[in-house]
Amino acid sequence: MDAPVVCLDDGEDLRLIFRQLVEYKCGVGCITFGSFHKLLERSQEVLKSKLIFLDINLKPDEPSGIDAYSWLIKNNYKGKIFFLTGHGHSHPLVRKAEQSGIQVLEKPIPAEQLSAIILNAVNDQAKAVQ
Amino acid sequence: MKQETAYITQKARTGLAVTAAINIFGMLMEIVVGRSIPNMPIWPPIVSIVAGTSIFYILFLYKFRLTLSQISILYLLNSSLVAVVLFMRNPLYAEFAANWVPFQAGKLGCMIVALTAPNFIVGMIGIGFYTGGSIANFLLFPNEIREGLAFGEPIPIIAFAMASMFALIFRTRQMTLEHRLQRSLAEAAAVKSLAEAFVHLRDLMNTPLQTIELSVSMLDEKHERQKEFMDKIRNAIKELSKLNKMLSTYERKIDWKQQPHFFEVDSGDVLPHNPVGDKKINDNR
Repeated sequence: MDAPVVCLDDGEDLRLIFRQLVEYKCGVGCITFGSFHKLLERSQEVLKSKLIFLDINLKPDEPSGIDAYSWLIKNNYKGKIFFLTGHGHSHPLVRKAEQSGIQVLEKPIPAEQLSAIILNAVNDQAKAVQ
Repeated sequence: MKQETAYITQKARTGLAVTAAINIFGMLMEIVVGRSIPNMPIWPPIVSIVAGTSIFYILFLYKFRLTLSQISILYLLNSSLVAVVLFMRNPLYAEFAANWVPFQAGKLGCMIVALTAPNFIVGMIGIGFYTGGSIANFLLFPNEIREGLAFGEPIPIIAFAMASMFALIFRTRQMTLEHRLQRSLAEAAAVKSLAEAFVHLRDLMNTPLQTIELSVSMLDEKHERQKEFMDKIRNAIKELSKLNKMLSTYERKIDWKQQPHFFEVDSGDVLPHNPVGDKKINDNR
């Protein structure tokens, strides 16, 4: 089943609760991944999604959310991308990402705000398709 | 402050070692030069050499335990001994040496003090020793010797003293600026390591905070009766988020290139452009 929302984050508990929140509060499907490699295993589903949340700093010695972002752009991803990070704004790469039109959300973001972002983005995409 | 003192003390220690070495070498020369002068006492330069060697020994023995005051005392002892030796031997040169150029060693002493004194006050006292000794010598010379001296004395020794004072002022000022620079660098390094520690701290706390925030929101929906407790947890999250924001201000001081385990980018430092992002930026923050 295709899920409109994808989340890449190395926090296992956060992934679980994020998925539940998206499904329960926003009423849309969500798949989550703990690493970029796991995300690649289901690349077709990921590329069909409408919205992706990428944590930037994943586990040490593993590709980061920025690598995932580069992969998405390279593969012509049509959905919206958000960075969901603990401390992104001061990092030069994240600042660059912001300049190129990606929203950087700083953890912890209130649940209501997160739900609103997801609903807005999903609705925008639906309108664009119509 | 401790670092600054250590820096000054180290400079003072080097200055003392240099002056003691010049004392030993200079006095050996003095013995050689003065050996043809009748009745020239040899013991003063020997005492001075012994003192210079003892200073070296003390420096070696107590290396890093000597305080700035102790170094200053040793420095003044060394300078005063040299000045006394010159004071004792100058009259004999003036009387018996042909074409003696007066107070050359005193003038040289002034310049050495300007370049090696541990601080301004000690430097001024050192210059005072050499200048005072030479002027006292001059005033105590009998008239016939005084008239036979090089033209203009004691003005040249005073001119040397003045020039040395200016050099001393310039050098001690430079030293102060160097201390300040050193202190600023040390402070910047401390702030940087603090910022790095905060980045790690935030890295550890942000994801759990987000998990709690989302969990509380979910529990809110399911347990309406527990709302009061949920609000308490939510307030705690707000407080922790404030702390989190406060810590984030330090991130600007981070040199991210020196944080290899943060944001390791396998695909290089170039971010591809996001074509979707250009369409609409809906900032919900």
